[in-house]
Amino acid sequence: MPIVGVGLGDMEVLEGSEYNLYGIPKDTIAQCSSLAFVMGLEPSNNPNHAIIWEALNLQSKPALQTLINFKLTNINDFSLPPMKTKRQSYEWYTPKGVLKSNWMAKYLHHIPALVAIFYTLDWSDSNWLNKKNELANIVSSVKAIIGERHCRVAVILLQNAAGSPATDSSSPYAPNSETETNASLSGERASILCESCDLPTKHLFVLPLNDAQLIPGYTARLEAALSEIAGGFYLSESKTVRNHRDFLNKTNHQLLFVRHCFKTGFLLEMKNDLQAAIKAYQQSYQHLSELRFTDTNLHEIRISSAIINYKVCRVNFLLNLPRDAIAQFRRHIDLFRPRMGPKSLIFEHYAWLASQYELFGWLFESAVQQGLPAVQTQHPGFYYQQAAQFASLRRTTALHLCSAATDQHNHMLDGIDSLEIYGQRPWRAGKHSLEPPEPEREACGVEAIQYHELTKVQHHEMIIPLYSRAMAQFQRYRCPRIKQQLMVQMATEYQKAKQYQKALAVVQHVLGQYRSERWWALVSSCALLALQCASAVADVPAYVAAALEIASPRVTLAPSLKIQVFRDGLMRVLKGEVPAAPPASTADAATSALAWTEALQGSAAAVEIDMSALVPCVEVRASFSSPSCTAYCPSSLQLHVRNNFLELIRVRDFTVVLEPHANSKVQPEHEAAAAEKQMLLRKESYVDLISREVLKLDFPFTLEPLVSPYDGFKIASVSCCLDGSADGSPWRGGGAAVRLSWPGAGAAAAASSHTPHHSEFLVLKNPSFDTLSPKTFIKVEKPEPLIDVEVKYDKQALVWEWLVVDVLVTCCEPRPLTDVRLSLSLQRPVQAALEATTRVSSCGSSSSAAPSDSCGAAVQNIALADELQPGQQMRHKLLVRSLTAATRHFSLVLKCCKSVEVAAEQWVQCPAVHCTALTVTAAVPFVVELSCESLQYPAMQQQHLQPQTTSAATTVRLQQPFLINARVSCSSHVPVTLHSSKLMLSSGVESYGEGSSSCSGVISACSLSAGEAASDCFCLQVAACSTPQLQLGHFLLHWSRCFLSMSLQQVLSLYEPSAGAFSL
Amino acid sequence: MAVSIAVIGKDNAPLYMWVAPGRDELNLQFLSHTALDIIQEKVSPANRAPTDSRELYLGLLYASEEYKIFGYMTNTKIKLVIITDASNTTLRDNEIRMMFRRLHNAYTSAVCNPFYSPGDPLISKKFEASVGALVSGN
Repeated sequence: MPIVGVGLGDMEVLEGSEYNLYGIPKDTIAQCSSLAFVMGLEPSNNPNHAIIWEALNLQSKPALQTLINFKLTNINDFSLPPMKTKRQSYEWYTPKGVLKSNWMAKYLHHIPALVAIFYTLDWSDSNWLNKKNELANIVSSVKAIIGERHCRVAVILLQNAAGSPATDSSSPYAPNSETETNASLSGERASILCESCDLPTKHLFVLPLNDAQLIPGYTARLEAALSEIAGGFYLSESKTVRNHRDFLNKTNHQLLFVRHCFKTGFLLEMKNDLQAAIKAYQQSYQHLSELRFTDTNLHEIRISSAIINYKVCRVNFLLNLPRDAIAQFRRHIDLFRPRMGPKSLIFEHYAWLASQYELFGWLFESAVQQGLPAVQTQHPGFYYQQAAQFASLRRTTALHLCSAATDQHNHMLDGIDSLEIYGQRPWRAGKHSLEPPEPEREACGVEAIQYHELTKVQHHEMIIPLYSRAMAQFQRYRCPRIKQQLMVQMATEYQKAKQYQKALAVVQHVLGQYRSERWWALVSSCALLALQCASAVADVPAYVAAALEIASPRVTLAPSLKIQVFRDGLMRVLKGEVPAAPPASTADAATSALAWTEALQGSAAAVEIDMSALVPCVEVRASFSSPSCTAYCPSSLQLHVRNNFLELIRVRDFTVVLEPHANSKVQPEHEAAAAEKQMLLRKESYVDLISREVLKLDFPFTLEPLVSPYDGFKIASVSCCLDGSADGSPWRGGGAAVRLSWPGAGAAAAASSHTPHHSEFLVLKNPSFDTLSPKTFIKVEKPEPLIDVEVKYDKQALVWEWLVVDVLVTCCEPRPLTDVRLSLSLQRPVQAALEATTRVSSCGSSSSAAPSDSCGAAVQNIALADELQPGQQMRHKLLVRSLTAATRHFSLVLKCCKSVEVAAEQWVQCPAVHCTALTVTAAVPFVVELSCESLQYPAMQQQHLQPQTTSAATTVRLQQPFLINARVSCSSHVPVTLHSSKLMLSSGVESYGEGSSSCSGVISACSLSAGEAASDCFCLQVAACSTPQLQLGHFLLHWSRCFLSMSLQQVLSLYEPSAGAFSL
Repeated sequence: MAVSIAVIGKDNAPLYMWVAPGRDELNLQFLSHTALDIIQEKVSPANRAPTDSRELYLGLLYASEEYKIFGYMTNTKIKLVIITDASNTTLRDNEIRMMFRRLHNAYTSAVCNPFYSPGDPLISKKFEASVGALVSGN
């Protein structure tokens, strides 16, 4: 994608109010476009003119190729700079310098390539003759003013609709925009007009005004045509300049070779012929580099080379040749970097270099904005960075060299911004010589420059914006660490500019990033910078944080410095005194002392320092002594504190904050409650932390029971106060109260501690502080009541029976238990299949009848007693029914409230829980076999009926009696009693002879032990049947275990299989 | 020869740092740190050509006015950074590559020490001696 010169021109950043001694002139940076003067337009009075003017100016902005800079003028104001007399020979001419400062401005602003005269005149105008003459007069007076110069003149006729409809809008050129009928008239008058104005026919245009919509289109074409004419002017000018070369010789006119090539390039650039322009510029640079440099003329050559180099680089970027631009820039720097100039003005060298890098960075950035791709290792940021570094060097050298300069020679610099030749010294203007003509005057001039540098130049105002521009670039090209380095440099710069707050903000931001990557040397330098800045502005929290950071063993500063910062800085702040200025601090001592006095008076609130964010000088690990504890029972928390500093640190008021913690997600309404439940464990006394030793502190506590969803406490934070009274006298108050806090149990700071990355290597460490893995969570268990729970039940249950579980609770507590509740449920985790086939019921709930099958697999919170006195017993029966043969585990939970003595004679009610596990294995008690036989007893077909299996079909005949034989064989481990049996018949089946729909069997009150069997027999007939297959009915068997106590005899188990299907 | 050698761990924390006597140590540390930006970009899977996946030498990372910074990354993501003077034109790319190889070997021997725990700063006389030999050109 070609890069075109829009935007590559107006550089606001360089346009400071101060004349920049080492930059390049504005005219160099200005956009190079053909200059045209416009006459005869009055945009403020005439709306049509306004439209044209707007369109002309609009065109020159976004349109890429036609670049004309239009300037509005009128015949009275029109003037041109006077022309110098043409030199016939250069033989005796000695140039004053390389590049003249007025030349570019002349072509940019004062000498137009073209004067465009707008004039309202229709071909068929009634007053044609007069107007034609008036126009001819205007043209001739313009030509008179132009005189010897070769500026072109063009006339644009503004024609209103009537006479000349613009049927052909393809060209604004007069003859083409005519209709055929008017062609002869217009053609004739056009040529008359050209003749009387002495204009070539190609310089006459017609701009129809009849349709305002079309005007922008016409002006675009007009501008293209005008730009061609202007190009002709610049081409001829450049040829004129080039022809001067023939008169020059290499001995006297080396400077003119440079100048003429530059002029040629500039004119060609105005013509927008970039290919030709760059050749000329490069040639000019080549001539320049062949000149002889001495300290005397170096400055002039530097500035001239900067101008030419800028032009070469810019045109290269415009031609989309970024590599050539970079190569040119490198050559340029390599050529001039070793030429440092006189020692007393070395800062000029750096100023100039900084300016070169900045300009190139800016050119590069503009090219990127126009679509040039840049990469991580080659982008404008590097140039800005280098510019900033040179600017910084400039300041260093300037401060070093200029300190003795006085203002007595200031007049030497008069007229520095209006020199005839770029880059010359005002005290010897117009003299391009290799040796200073007057050494004494030279020395005075140097001192004036030094004084100017020292007093007038605000270095940081140049350096800081360079850094921030570089940072933006590095951010863009994914170099976060280079950006961090720039931020440090920027902070240093802010510090030098005495903008300590800004420096502090920047450096604190970077500190965190260096800490996280554990570059301790970088952390150290930043921490020291932070300390200096915080000290200068008396920022207490920042100061304390930086001082604590410096105290850390990780920070690679000298131990003596650390101790000095700790004793004379931090300790004094704690005592309420003004701290000693940190080493290498540049701040004004008196101002910062004042700020400190104010800050220390005002700091009533404690300063809280988050130690986990720092590289710690004091580390803590808090750990519960056990992973769980019982409510109201004493438990404890161990706090290990290690002092990594070189000296003793005295602290007081250790506080550990515990907060409720839930494993599941907590509803917002509970969160507020949790905040209230926070617990503080404190030790207010003084503690001396001996250097490099670990101190263990024990915090005993008892916890209250928690409500759901919270099930325990975790360590929220650990904190302590730094104490200023290290000399042994108690703390008297006053000064800053500094509280160090570690969120969590102190393990959060582990990233910066000594813990190895791989736990396998823990064995290499001392088995102490570093390897401590803190228990940060404690589960609060409910206390167990002192009760005796006796559960009587048969572990071998029978399937289908309601097994009696007899619970006897005896209270052994010294005080009554209240609100005793019983629950029985399957043990967790519950299998769905077991849950579906288990029924649990409480006997007390419906003692009169057998419990219904609708009850679930658990009973919850059956109220046993409101109060259970000491020694009192309580009995309760529960019923459990297993519907499949399997082993089931139950938990029997007894909840109650017990009284707990929290202090002498202080009792609180506390929920308590007692758990008992039950196991029930169920087996099938008996098997029923049903068979169908004819009255003559031959077995029709026999089959076993397992409970819950569907019976197979047997064939019987309608109206024929038959027998159903039921045989019950017992497999139970205890004898069972069969109380009665019954056959419930379906419709259409009846008992033979009786005709009833049910018949009682003969089994009644029959006890069976394992291996025994009982039989029953029924005689049935099928009376009517509509379907070929039919279900006969159900066989009901009432049974129970033998020897059940009376109260439970009603609880009969029912065996109820379908009695078989018969096909007919 | 080199003015600075840095061994940087896989989590970007420095393990070892050597700076030629008389140099601005802090500035060279800053430079070694910034080199990580470009290493990171060079070894990111998106930018790496599949053919050179076994090439550990990353070449010239970037050059400032004063220094040239070269990079190398082992398969275990240990980054080696060598900084030379920008004016030193006698050092060829191949020599730098050889220096990295030798540095890598020295590092490998150093971490074979059973008492060294990975991720800790390298404190080893033998490694120190290898680096000394490397920078003195022997």
